[in-house]
Amino acid sequence: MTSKNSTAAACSDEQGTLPVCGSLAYPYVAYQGTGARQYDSMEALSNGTLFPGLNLPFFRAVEASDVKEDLRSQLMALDFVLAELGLYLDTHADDAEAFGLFRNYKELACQARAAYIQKYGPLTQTDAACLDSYVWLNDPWPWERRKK
Amino acid sequence: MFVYEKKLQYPIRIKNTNPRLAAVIISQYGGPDGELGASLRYLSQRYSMPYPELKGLLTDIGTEELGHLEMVGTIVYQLTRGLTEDQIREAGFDAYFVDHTAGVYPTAASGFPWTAASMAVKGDTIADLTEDLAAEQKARVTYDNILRLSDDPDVNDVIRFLRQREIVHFQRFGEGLRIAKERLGEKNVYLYNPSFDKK
Repeated sequence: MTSKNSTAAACSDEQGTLPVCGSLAYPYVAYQGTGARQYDSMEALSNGTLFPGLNLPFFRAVEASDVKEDLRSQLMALDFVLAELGLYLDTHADDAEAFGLFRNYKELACQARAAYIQKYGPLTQTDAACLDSYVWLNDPWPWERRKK
Repeated sequence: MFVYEKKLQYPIRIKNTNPRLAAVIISQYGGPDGELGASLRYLSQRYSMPYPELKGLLTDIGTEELGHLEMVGTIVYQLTRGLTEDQIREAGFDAYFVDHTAGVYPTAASGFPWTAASMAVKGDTIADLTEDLAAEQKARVTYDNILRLSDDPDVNDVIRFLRQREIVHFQRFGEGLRIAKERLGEKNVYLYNPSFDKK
C-alpha cells in the first residue's frame, strides 16, 4: 500500500520501501515488501521471527536455538507463525499471498491442536468439555518444568 | 474478551536454578520496560486509535506481550525453585526474598514496584505510536543487557527469542505510523489529532 511514490521494489529481504520525498518532522520506518523470504515453521520459532530479513541477533546470542521437534513444539511453531503472519497482515491486509499462507497454516494448526489435546490435555478450559473428565486442572501448568 | 491457553509461546526448560539471575530478569516482568507495561500500554492505547489497522496492531501486539509476561514469569519461577536459605543469602536474592519469598512479583530489578508511570497513553495517534517505537527499543536493550549478564544457555535461548520479538514489533509499529501518514495526507500531519478531532 506504500508503493505509490516509493523507492523501487528492488529491495533485499533486509530492506523495505521509503517515500522518495518524506514529510519533515515525521518518523519513517522502511515498509516491508510483499513476497519476503520466510523460514519454515520450526525455524521461525527458533529464530523468533518468520522473516530472515527481520532476524537481527545480538552479538551475545547470534545462534538460533535448535528447538526439539515434537507434538508440543510443532503446535507452538504453527501458532507462532500464525501470530507473526497476523501482525504482518495487520499492516499488509491486501497481501493475498500472505493471507493464503495464513489460511494454510491455520489448517495445519487446527490438526496439530487436536493431536496435542489428545496427548497432553486441554489447551483452553472448555476443551475439557470434549474430553472424558475435567482434566483442565492436571499438572503440569505451562510455567512448571516438564520432565523429559 | 480474553481466553487463556494452557501453553507458552516458546518452550522454557531451565535445568539449573540461579536466584541472582532471577533477581535481574524480574525487571522484564515488572520493570520500566517490561512485558506488563508493554501489554497495558498497547491494550490501553488502542481505544483511541482511529484506523482499523492500528486498532488491530495494538490489540494483537498487546496480547502477544501478555504471553511474554507469562514467559518471563516462567523463567523467574524456574530459576528460583527449591532454593535453600544459604543459596538465597549467597546469591544476593535476600532483598527480593524478604518481601516476596519465591513468589513472582511485578517489580524492577532495582526493587521499585511496577508503576503505570513507566508507560503512557497520550490519546494522540502519532505520539502514542512513537512512544511504542521507543518502548520496543528499550525492551530490546534490556534483553541485550540480560544477555550480557547471563551465561545460562537455557535462559539465553528464551531471552534471545523475546528480544527478537521486540524488533519485529518495532517494524510493525513503524509500518503503523506509515499507514497513519497515508491517511493524514501529504501536508501538515499535526493540523489535528486524528484520535480526537472529528474530520
